[in-house]
Order: sequence, then structure tokens, then C-alpha cells
Amino acid sequence: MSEPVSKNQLMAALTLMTRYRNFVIGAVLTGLVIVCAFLSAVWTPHSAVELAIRSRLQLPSLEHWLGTDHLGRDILSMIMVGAQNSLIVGIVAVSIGVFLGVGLGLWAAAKRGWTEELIMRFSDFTFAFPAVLSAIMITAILGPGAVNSILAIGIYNIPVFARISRGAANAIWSREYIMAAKAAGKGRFRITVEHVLPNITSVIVVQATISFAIAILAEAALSYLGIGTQPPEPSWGRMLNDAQTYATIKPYLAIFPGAAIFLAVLGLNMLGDGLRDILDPRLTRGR
Amino acid sequence: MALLEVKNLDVTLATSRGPARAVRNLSFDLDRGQTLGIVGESGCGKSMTALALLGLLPENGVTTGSISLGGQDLLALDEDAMCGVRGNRISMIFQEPMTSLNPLHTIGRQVTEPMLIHQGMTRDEARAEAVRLLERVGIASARQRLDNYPHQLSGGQRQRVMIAMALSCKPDVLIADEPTTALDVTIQGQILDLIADLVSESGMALILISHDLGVIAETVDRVLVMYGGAGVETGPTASLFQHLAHPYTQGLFAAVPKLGSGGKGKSRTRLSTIPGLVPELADLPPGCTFADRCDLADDKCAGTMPTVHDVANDAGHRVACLKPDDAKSRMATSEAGA
Amino acid sequence: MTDTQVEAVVDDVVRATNVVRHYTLPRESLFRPPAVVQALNGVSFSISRGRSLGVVGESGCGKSTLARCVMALEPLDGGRVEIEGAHLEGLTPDALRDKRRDFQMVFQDPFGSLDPRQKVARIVAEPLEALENLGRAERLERVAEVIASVGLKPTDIDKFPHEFSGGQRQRIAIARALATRPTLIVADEPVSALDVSVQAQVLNLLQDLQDQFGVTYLMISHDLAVVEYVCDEVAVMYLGSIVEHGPAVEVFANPVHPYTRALLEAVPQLVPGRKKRLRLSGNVQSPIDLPVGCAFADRCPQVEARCREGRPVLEDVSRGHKSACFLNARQTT
Repeated sequence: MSEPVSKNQLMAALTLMTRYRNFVIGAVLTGLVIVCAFLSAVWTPHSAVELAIRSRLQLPSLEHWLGTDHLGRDILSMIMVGAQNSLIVGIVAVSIGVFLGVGLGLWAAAKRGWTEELIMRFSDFTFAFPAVLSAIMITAILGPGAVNSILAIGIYNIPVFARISRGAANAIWSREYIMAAKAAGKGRFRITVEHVLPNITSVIVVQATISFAIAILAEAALSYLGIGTQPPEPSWGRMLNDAQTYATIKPYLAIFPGAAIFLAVLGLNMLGDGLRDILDPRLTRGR
Repeated sequence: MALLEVKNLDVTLATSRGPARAVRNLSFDLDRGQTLGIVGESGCGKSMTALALLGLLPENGVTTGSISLGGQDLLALDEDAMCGVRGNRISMIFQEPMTSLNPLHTIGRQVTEPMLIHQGMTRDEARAEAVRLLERVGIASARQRLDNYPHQLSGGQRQRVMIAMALSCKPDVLIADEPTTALDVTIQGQILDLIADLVSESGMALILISHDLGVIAETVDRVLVMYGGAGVETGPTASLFQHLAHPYTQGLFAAVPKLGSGGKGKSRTRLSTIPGLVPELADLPPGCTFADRCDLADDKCAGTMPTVHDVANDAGHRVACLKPDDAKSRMATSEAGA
Repeated sequence: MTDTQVEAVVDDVVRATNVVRHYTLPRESLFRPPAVVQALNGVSFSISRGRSLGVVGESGCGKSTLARCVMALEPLDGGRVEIEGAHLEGLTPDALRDKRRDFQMVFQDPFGSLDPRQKVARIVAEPLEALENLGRAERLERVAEVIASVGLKPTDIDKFPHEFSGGQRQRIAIARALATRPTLIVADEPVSALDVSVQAQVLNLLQDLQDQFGVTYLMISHDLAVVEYVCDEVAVMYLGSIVEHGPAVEVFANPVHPYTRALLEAVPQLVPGRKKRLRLSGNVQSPIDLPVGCAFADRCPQVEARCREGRPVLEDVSRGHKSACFLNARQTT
């Protein structure tokens, strides 16, 4: 009688572990990127920008853990400094998307009618262009550079957050506690701030981690195309671009920055999945 | 031997708060043509019992005991064999006629499906049978209705379609889980009448699960009252309603507002209540599940399994209680006082 | 309407006159006019201070719409609602907000009507925050007061809704409605989501609060027994109109309208055995495109030709007991 029960408990504990595993792995990988970024601000094994042509294209060694590139720069150091770049792009671009997008989404859900229609059709229009394409268009207008690529990715994020927060907010607006708040004499603005926003934060947080990953990818793509971060500032995307020339003779040049992008994006996606599971009210407050 | 025999059925669910005994030591049997009502509040285990009979328990559930249908132990069957039983020898009507029908399939497809699977009928045979069934459950212009989608029907009509589906393979046992709870009261009467007629016509056995004592009183021959996963009282409907023997049954009965009682106009009578809350399954005492809400309970009740007593001299009316005499005398005095 | 009897000064808390509410459904075709749901077709009633009116009827009869219209949560398409002497539709938004302290609402779903992310103290204080200019200390005091009056523990104010059972949550919702000391509480199916044993506790609580504070109730319910138990008066609705209205004792003992009779007949009784009774045929109709005559004509067992030609109005059958049926005279004998 007690045997199958304990077995079941074990199963339950295991499912719980797997549920948290996403979050744990995601948090560790994301944490690694953040640590690299902060550490590189005060210390790197070598300089990430100084050229040392004499020691160019070296294989990984004790001196240069991940080797050096065609200009003799230490790849590990470049990846660490590149993490800074990726982080800043991600944070700023996602912030633009969250503030403007969530604001528009909440506004649309609160007003309904024409306002909603207008906001949503506008974001459908923007949404129809793939991230990189719209970024290329924006940089084509504003000129290449780190700031403009951040702006481009940020603008791309606005409709993403507008749509997701409008959808989530509409669901909240149909709840009875909103009706209760109206009956208590609260206006749309107060209801939005006090009831709607707190109840959609989990959705926004999850989307933010995923958008963060997409932003890092987009920045890498833009830099790879040469319209993102400009030299000599290191960027994972530009490192890939540089490595392309030597892809056949020195493949490891592409592998390390590629792996950095891969791990950062994977980490953020797993963090998003993990957060979604943890924040899901059905799992934490089932009756 | 009875058609359906349930013996010492136990269902344990693994929850985040530890194992919860959703059904404990439940036994009952049912013969062809008999109707059994299971009544109780949310979390009393009445729906879990139905799901256990169908082998449809959630993944975290473990069942022990025995369920035998015509001599065959259902708990010993594997999933494939159980599929042959479900919808064929035991079928079920659910509470929500809105969500239990697939919105993307026509009525015809959903009614004929079990017959195609279990009875090996051809499509034409099944369609003809479906028309006959829909007519029997009172759906007008049944032939046209076969090509309708669920959203084109009203709630009452959908529940009729659900009943037609449940009947399509002439089951031995029909389980109806709150079949009228989602329906309006004037429609509820129609559906209950229909179910009762069909049962007496076909001679199948019916298990009607409901929280509504009125629905139970009017529809079934025998009643099983459940509380906290345990059967606390069972007996023929007339006897049970006449001699409420278990303190929980007494409390439940007294708590229902009764139509025609004169209500507020005559005197400000209060409804009698059962103190406390409907319990969490994981927190129930090992002995009598009702012990912590029962005003007759003493220290012994929570720790000791209640004993089963015959009530009065009515055949088959039994109560599981350590203090049946106290409960009985209380009813006697309250009746004398009324 | 001809029901303006002049009586002694009546102290009505709420008076609804000829309330009309129609919704236009989204267009299904370019060539047909969009369907109109006639949720309320001229509903009038009043409730005097400290009394309670129960509105019963089946799904789609407009009873919940009526509750929201009285609460000024929905605009009216005709008629007016007067609470404590003020016409709600004539008020400016600010004045209406101010007025809301006099009328509050309890909702059906104890799980959906409390914000899952707020603690009980904040939930209960919500109307106070919006409607009354109280200091923090006074507000907390008021919260503690109403929490105690609905039978919850003082420590409960620091918990989240999911820590409570359905019945306790409904107590929290009632506490919130009481916080501004309203004179009218509109309760939309307040116990239909609760278990029987808990339902009785909440119904008793509603009665006690009325005795204690003299609040007036407008209670919406599909359960006739609940209304009979709590309410002084009852109004039976069918497809957007009140078909019978009177003292609860009177209406339940001597129902006049055929629909009320059928409704009372249909309620299963706590008496064993199958009863052969008059069952209404047909389904509950949808309130779209109502017929010209009596809305109940299609299902009425006593229908006559004139029922399909004109719509009967509410008429007195005895003192204070009104029914909208051409056959009133015959039914009362």
C-alpha cells in the first residue's frame, strides 16, 4: 500500500526537478553571460582591442585559452567584452519594447473600440516585417552603428509586446474582479495599474527573456552584416564575420563566438520556459 | 452475483501536500435495472469513484480494491482491454454538455463513432441507428440534426445528444455525473425524466452522481452518501430520506433551503449549518472523515474507523458511524420539537 | 405602466422605471441587419429600505443584465434607475463615483471576483480607497470591522485569496461590498457556486447583516428556494420582462403566471419517488427577435390566440401581487 505511494512521490519530486531544471540551467547560462560582461569591464586576460599581429591565428593554448584571431587579439577577451555589448543591446532593446509596447497594449485593452483597432492594426503592420529586415531598413535610414541597431531591435519589439500584453490584458478585463473594481468606483487608469498590470507581469517577464534572446541574435546578425556594432568594439556577430574568411583553415575562430551566441540564447530561452512554469498560477496555487 | 460489484475501493492521489485518499474503502453493488444515486459535496470522492469505474483516473492516482463487472475484474484489465469496456459496457454522461462534445465534428460523426468502433457496424447502419437514438432522446428532425455542429444546438439538446452517444452501444452501466447541473431547471426535469425512462426501458443500471438532494430523491432507488472519500450512509431512497442516520446526512439535509417552507415571510428562521469547511482531502483524520465537523464526535471518532450499523429494520439501510444512537435520538427530538 | 398607486410615504432605496437594454450582436452578413438581443424590455420595480427583492428566472432571462444596469455598470437604452433619490444616468462621472458608496455588489464566482495578486486587506479596502477619503488608520479600522462582521479572523487580512475556500472567499467579497456602509447591495447568484453546507452559512450571514445594518438587497438567483429563504419580495423574469412580482410568501404559495407555476413545479423536491408532473416543453428561447405577443406563448400550456397578438402587462391580482398574463383572472380562483 505504501510502496506505490512513495514511488509516486518520487515521481512527483522528479517532475518538479525537471520543471525547475529549465530554470536552473537557464539561470546559470544567463548568469555566466552577465558575469563575463561585468568582469570584462575591469579585467580581461588580454586586451580585447589591441592588435598583436605577431601572435595572430594561434590555436588555443595556456596563454590564449581560446586562441587568437587574424589580428592577434585574444578571443576569450573579445567574447567577454562582446558579452557586454550583447547585454546592453538586449537590455535597452527589450526595455524599449516593454515600455512602449506594454503601454500601447494596456491602452488598447483599456479603451477598446477605435483606439484598440488602430493600435493593433499598426502593430500588425510593423509585425509583418522580420526583425532583421526591419532593422536593416532602420539602419539604412539612420546609418549603421551600435545605437541605431539597438533602436532598430527595440522598435521591432514594440508590436511584439503590444500584442502579447493586449491579449493578456483583455483576458484580465473580462474577470469579475475587474467588474468589482468598477463597482467600487475605479476608473480605467486605476484598474489598469492596480489590477491588470500586476496580473499580466508573468506573461511579460517570460516574453522579455525570449525577446532578449532574439535581440542578442539580431544584434549578432546586424554586426555580421556590418551594420551593427562598429570596429574596434568587439561583438559576437562581427567576430563571426571576421572568422568567415578563415573558416576553412581555422574553423575554431567561428566556433567560439558561435558557441557564445548559442549558449546565451539557449540560456535565455530555458530561463523563459522555467519562469513560465514557475509563474504559472495553476502550478503554484492549485487547490 | 450482482452486475457491478465494487469492493474496498481506494483511490489515492499524489498531491504536492502528500498522498490524498480521494476514495476510501468504498463498497457497493448494483444490479441490472437498478439505480444508485451518489450524493455529496465537492471533494467527497463521488466523481473520482466514477472515473475509477471507467479507468480514467488522473496520472497521479492509484487504485486498489476490486471493481468487477459481470464477474470480470476491471482493475486487472490493461488499457487496451479497458478501451473495449469504456463507452461499450460502461458509458458516462458528463456535466458540461458544452465542452464534452467536440465542436469541430458533426453530431452524426460523434454519435456514430462508438458504434463504428465497438460494434463493427457499417457507416450506413450506424447512421440509421443514430437517427433512431436521437429520435428516442427527443431530438426533433433527427436526420437533419446529424449534419449539425454542437454550437447549433441548445444546452438541453446537447445533453440529449450526449445521452444518445452514451446509449449507442447499449451499455450495462450508465454513469451520469451531474447531468443536469449546467441546465436550467425547466430543462433539468425533461432530462431526468428521459434518463429514468431509458433506464426502465433498457434494463441497464444507472449511477447518478449529484450534489442536489432533490434530483437524487426523485430519480434513484438507492442512495449512497459520501463525505471525504468515504461512504457514510447507504440505503433505499425512501428509507434514507425518512430516517437520516448519519450526522453528515442529517446536517446536509437540514442545510438545504426547502421550497415552500414559508421562508422569511413567516418567521426569520435560520438555516441550520454544518460548522467548518468542506475538508481538504490530504488533511482528513484517519478514522471517521466527518469527525472534525461533527457535533456528536468525541476523541475516539477521529482515530477509529467507524463501524457499520443497520438502520431501523429497513433492508440494506446502513450507516458508518460510532454513535448511531446519539444521531438517531437527536433526529427523534428535533422531529418531536418541530 | 399603471402601477403608480399612491400610498403612504414610501421610503424606496432603489426604483427602476421601464429599464430597457438591447445589445447589438456583431453583423453576420452584410445584407442582413445585425441581430439584437433584447435583454431587458421595460423592467420596473422598487425596493423599500431594509427589504429584499429576489429576481428569479432561467439563463438568458436578463436577470444578470438587470443587476449590472442597476449597478450602473452598463448603460441603459431606455428608462431610468434611481438610487437614494438620485437618477444615476443624470449624474456626472464624478458624482456617480461618489454615489457608488451607497450601492455595492457581490458577484457569483468567489474565485473570479477577487484579484489573485492582492491580499485580503487590499481587496476589502478597494471601495474605501476609491470612494472615501479616509486616513490609513481609519481605513484599516474599517477593514477590521467588516472582516469581523462577516465572521473572518482578524489575521486573515494578510492572506491571499487562494488560501481560502469558496465560502470564505464569498465572505471576503461580502466584506468588500459592506466596506462603504452601503444602503443597497446587489448580489448576483451569491451562493450558486458554493456547496450546500457552506451555502447555508453564507445565506445566514446575509440575513444577519440585514438585521444588523438594515441593508437592502437586490438578489439575483436561479434557485427559487434560496430566494424564498432570503427575500421579502420576488420578481420572476422571462425573456427580459418581469412576468410576476409580489411578496415571496404570496407568490410561492399562490403562483399566478403559468411560467411561475411551471418553474415551481420543476424544482426537484426532497421527497423520494418520481413525480409525474407537467413538464414545460421546448427550450428556453433566446432573447433575439422576440415574438409580438407574450414571450412565453410558445411554451405556455394554456396559450390562447390573443396571447400571440398582444403583450400582456403587469396587473394587480391581489394587493401587491402582480402578474403579466391575459388569464390572470382565471388563475387566481
